[in-house]
Parts: sequence; structure tokens; C-alpha cells
Amino acid sequence: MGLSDLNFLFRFFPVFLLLYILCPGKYRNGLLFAASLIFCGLGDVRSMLVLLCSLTVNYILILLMTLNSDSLSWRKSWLFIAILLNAGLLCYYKYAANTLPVGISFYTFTLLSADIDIYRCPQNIPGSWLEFGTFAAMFPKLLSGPVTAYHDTIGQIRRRNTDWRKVEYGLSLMIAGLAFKNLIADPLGTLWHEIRTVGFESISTPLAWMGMAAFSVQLLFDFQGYSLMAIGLGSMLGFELPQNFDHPYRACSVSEYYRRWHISLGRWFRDYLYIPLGGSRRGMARTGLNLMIVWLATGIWHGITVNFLLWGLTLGLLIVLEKYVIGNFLSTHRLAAHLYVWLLLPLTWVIFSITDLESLKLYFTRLFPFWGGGIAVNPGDWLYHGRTYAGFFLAALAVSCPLADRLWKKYWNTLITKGILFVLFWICVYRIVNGLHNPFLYLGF
Amino acid sequence: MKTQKHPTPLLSALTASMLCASLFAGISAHSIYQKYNTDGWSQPVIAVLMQGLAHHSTASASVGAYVDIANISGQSLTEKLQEVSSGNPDTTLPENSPVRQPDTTASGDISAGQPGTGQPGNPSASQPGTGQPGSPSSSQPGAEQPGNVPADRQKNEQPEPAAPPAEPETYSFSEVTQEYFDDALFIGDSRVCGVELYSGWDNITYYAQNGMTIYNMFQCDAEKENGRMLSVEEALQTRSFGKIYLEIGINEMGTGNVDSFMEAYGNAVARLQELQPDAIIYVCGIMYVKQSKSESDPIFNNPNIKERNDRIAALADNKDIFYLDINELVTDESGHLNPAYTWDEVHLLGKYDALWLEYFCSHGIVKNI
Repeated sequence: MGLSDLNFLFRFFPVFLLLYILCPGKYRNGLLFAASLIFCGLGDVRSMLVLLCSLTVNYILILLMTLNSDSLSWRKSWLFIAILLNAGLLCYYKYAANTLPVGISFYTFTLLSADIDIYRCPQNIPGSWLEFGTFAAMFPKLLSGPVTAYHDTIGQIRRRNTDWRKVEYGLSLMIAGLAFKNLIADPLGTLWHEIRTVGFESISTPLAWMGMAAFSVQLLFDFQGYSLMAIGLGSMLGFELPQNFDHPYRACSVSEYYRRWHISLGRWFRDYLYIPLGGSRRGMARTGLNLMIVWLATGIWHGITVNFLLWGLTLGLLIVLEKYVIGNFLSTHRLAAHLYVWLLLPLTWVIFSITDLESLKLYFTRLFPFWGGGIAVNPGDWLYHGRTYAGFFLAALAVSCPLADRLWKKYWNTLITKGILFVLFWICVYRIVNGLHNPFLYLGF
Repeated sequence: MKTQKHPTPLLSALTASMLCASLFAGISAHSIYQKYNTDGWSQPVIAVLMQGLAHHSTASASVGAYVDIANISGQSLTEKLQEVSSGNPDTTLPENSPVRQPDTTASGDISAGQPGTGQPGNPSASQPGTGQPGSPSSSQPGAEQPGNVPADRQKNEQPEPAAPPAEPETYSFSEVTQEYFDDALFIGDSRVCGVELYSGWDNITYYAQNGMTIYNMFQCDAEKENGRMLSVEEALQTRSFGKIYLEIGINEMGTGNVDSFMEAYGNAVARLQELQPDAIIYVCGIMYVKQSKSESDPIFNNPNIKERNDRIAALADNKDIFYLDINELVTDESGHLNPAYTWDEVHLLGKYDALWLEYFCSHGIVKNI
């Protein structure tokens, strides 16, 4: 069950919200934890068991770590075991098992953050298994994040305030996220799907570029839509979950892009991998190596097929290049910097999307046709598809511009906006029922 | 402009609308929308209402265009056709029916060698499209030679000496060239869109659209005239075609059942004949899907497709309506869509879309008028 499923929107969440509102404050964590386990188990009971085992083992490891909290080596030993167990479990399910338990990539990072934070600051231990379980399993962020750090979130688990304004704001965000996903990402995903259906060898070069743009926008609005829904749900329950996207295509470099894209994962890698490796304080060569390690790890986190490794390494190289070679140029030539981001990042998303290397090579030959010819290519196919999908690209552009931000901040709480959101919600429901809908892309990671 | 009075207008409005819509859906699930998924467990009951709304915006609107033709004498044409093909002598189609009745007076038991004489869903060796894909049978529609009719039929077909030469009862397929398609119209769904875009021939007229179904095809966009987009229905009233290829049927598989599909299909063919009385109508079997899809999908699978194809084939009279089945060309040894030909398990890759035309070129009907 995903956040955009009909069963979630019409059954699970309304019932849960009603109970949550009626429930006395001291029992809300219990209710949220139980609901999260049910949410996880409704799709697949084994996923729920894996989650339950994983968080319980981590809780025990944390307790063991704090038994002799004055001893650094004691804590380090238990942290080592925790990392080994979590990484082993994640690797097994991601790369060896047939099925991926829902949300495991995300909650494993959440649990690791708790292990590392308590290793660093053993005073800040969870009050109870229930408290720890609620932190790790809360359903709004269970499936695809945001990946919350323990030290940022545990305070909200212990104490949080809910008021009607937060509920209303959260609901507005949730519907906006659903609309992002359902009315922009899904239709553009259809274009990408059509291109794959036709076969890369038969698409014209303009269509290859259009397809690349379609996938890039789809991925952004799909994941951003999910994140907005998660943050909105969190707000309705009294949480302040961290922002996960901040208009990445406004960036002037790849480094900046990734400070705006999947922010919570970027922060996790920065806080728990890059800085422990030495960050940028150990000289140019070591910094470059650290960056490459972080980006290789990011690629592996997404998958171990060659394309993900290639994707991670490409980004690592670009970021190292920016840091030491072209960074100054980009910071002083904004237009060139924007063009650089708009051209290069979508190309890297092509690598991300196409897992088969032969097909990837083929796609690049269609993007840059001087590398080879196609088969049964229709030079006018981009016009055919362009007519169908231009509106969705324009809609994506419209809601991404700074004016849209300002309008939202100023008018989100007006009746007109609420009316628009109301209509958008029912349009989305109509589309979901009638099959014009796809699962969130990041559920696959 | 701020919402000061009520703290949660959106939450209140959504809650109220969800309750009302669910209530209405619950009632309609047992009345006007009872044909939709109403198990009440796998999906909230609101799904029924949304499916019904979708149906209203497509299916019922399109049926409305030819419902009068379909329900002459209170019985659907498809039912009539089924009864005719099953040999019920008391059943005749109205004289003004656009779907022509097989000429029983001339042929006697014409149904014996005609497509669709087997029971629908119970394929027989003599029925076109019922053999294993990839192994065309000699009883394929149109394979019967006009001059090679059974003896008992010949006996019944003695023409009056003074009468003009009889029109051939049926026609057989022959090889045709690209020019044959100059006055051809292809109507169909996304699979035909692929043919339009990637087959490489531009002398064919296409009224094809992603998501087109037999229920909405007459309302779909066809072509522009004087800046205004004509629907298929309007365009067919404006232009005339010599051949119409109807390649449709996969999108509808999740809606209704085989009977409701065939009723709509029969009505659509009838309407095509009414609008284009001189056109040869080719009804095309639905292309199969890949084996993995077929074995995992409870709806879009090859046994279901085959069941529908058998029924579509039964519409052919080999005189004005002919059945074509591209599955002969695109399936593998196991009878499923060749995995090398598809990425999404349903559509042909662009480079293989020309196979449609290759097949149609070897299955042309040429009438000597």
C-alpha cells in the first residue's frame, strides 16, 4: 500500500486520523507505531516482520552500547556490529533476495543514524522500545523517506504539538504532492514508457531528447510528490519532517543540484560517511577520493547494476571537477552554469534509468546520432508526442518557477486555493481508479 | 481572503465529499454500476463510482451513436449474428441491417465453411483464428476459393439462365501492393499508432489513438477539417474509403465481458458499414501478448484474447467483412507474442511495426467490379 493508493486515501488514513485525533497524547506513539506496522504488513506480512526484527535488534544494540557508555571502544565495538548487521541485511535484500521488503533502504539508514548518533552521544538514548519503534517505522516516511536523522527527530517523537492549522497545512501539502505525482509525473512517465515500447533504435533524435527530459521531470515530480505527501502527513500528525527537495533545477552546479535533490539522503551521506572519512579537511587528493567514495556508495544504494555504478561515478567525477577546476567559472557565469545543469543532469538520469548497457549505448546514439543510425526511425515522431505532452512539460515548468513558490506561501490558506486542491484531489482519485496511475518510482529502491 | 472562520475548510469539505461519494457509490454499486468491481474488499466502494463516471465519459456516449441500429427489434445485432451462424432458420436480420446477413438462400449451409461457425470460446478446427498462432489453417477466412464450393452448395447455387453472372459469394485473399492502401483507413488503438508512426508508409489514413476502445472509437479524434477536429464518426460521414481495417480490442478487456464487447464490436462494424457501404471491412484479431504477461495477468492474457478473436472472426462473411489475424506472423512457437518483438510485452517494437503491413499485403481482397 502506497501513499497514493485508494485504500490508503479512503480507508487507512481517514480511520487512522480519526483515531489519532481522538486518542490522548500519551497513547499517540503507540497508535502511530501500531498503525505503521499494519501499514507495512498490509502489503506484505514478511516486510512487517523484517521491519520489526530490524528495529528491535537495533534497539538492543543501542542499549548494549549504552551499558558502558563511558568506554569509547565498547561503543565502537557495538557500533561496528550494528553497521555490519544493518549493511548485511540491506545488501542481502537489495542484491541477493528475490523480494525487497518495503522501505528497507530508507529505514535501515534511519536506524543506522540512530546507532551512530548514540555512539557519538550516548546520553540521548531512546526512552523505550515503543519510542524507538515509532521513530524508525512511522508510516508517513517509511516507504521512501525523508531519511530522518535520529538527533533531529527523537525530540518530536517524545513531544509534539498538533493543531488544526498544521492539519490543514499538511492536508494541502499532501494533495499538492498527490497532484504532482498523478497529474505531472505519471503522464510524463507514459511518454518515457512509450519511448521504451517503441524501442530506442526507432526514435528520432528530438524524441530522444524529449524522452530524456520526460524521465527527468517524471522522476523529480514523482519523488518530490511523494516527499510532499510524507511531509504533509507528518504535519497532520504534528511532526516537522525535513524538506527533501528545493527546486534542484535552479542550481548552478551539480554539487548544488544535489544539495537540493533528495536532501535528506545527501545529508545522511554527508553526516555519516563523508565527514567521518575526513570530509574536505585532508587535502585535495583525499577530498576527491572521499567524494568518489560517497558517490559510489550513493550509486550502490540505488542498485548494483553497472548503470548505477556508472551513474554514481559520473556524478562523483563531475563534483570533483567542479570543486577543483570549473567551480569558479560556474559561479561567475550563471547562464552557462544553468545550461550546464539543464543539459548534464538529464543525461545522467538517462544512465540512471536504463539498466542495460547495450540499451544505454543505443540511447546515447539516438541522442547524438553521429555515433550511429537507427532502424525504422520516424523523423516526425517528436511532433506527434510533443503535441500530447507539451502541456505537462509546461505545467511542470509553471509549478517550478519562483512565482509559484511565492503564490503558495501567500495564498495556501485561502478558500480559492482550497477549492483548487479539492478539485485536484478528486481528479487524482478518478485517474487512480481508472488506471492512469503508476507506483512511486522510489518504491523500487 | 484568509480562511478565518472555519479552521479546516479543506479537511471538512474532503471528509463530507468522501462520505457522500462513498454513500452514493455504495448505492450505485448495487444498481446502475453493479457490473463494476463491487467486491467491497480489494478497493473502496468509491472505485465503482469513478469507473462509472469514466464509462459515462466514453463508453455509453459512443454506444449512443449507433444504439438504434444495434437494438433493432429489441435484440442486438451480435445476438442475431450468433443465432444466424448457429443455423437457426427462424432468425433473420432486418432488411435494413447494416451488417449483412450471410446469404443463406444462395449457399444453403454456408456456415459450414464459414468463419465463426464453431461455438464461441469453443474453437473448432474449421474456425479461423482458432488454430495455434503461427500455423495458419486452410480454413482461414477467405481461404475458401469462390469456384471451389462444396457439391451440395453448388447444387443450390444453380443460377437462372437469364440472370446476370452471380456475384462471387466469397472472396479469397491475394497479394496486394502498397497502392492498394491508398484508400485504406486504419482504425485502432496504441498498437495502430505504432504502425502509423513506424511502418514507414504514408499513403494510409489512420484514425488511431492511444486508449481507443470499441466503446469510444466513434467519438475519438480523427482528423482536422477547416481547423476543426472531426471525430471518427464525423470524418466517416465526410470522407469515403475503399477499405477499413479495424484493429481494436485490447484496452476493453478489463471492461465488461466478452458478450458486451462483442455486442459493441458488432454494432461498430454495423455502423462502419452504414457510413461506408462500399468499403471492405477487415476485422482484425487482437494481437497476443508475451508469455510472461499472459501467464501473470488475469485479464490481459492470451486465452482471453483468443476467446475474443474467435468471436471477432465469427463476424466475417468473406464477402464484405473479412477477418485478419496478424498473430500468424508475430507469435513464437508457443503461440505467444514473440519476446524479441516487444519491450512492454504488449506492443510491437517500432522496427517490427512494418510486419502489420507485410501481413496485410499478403491478405488483400480485390473485388472486380
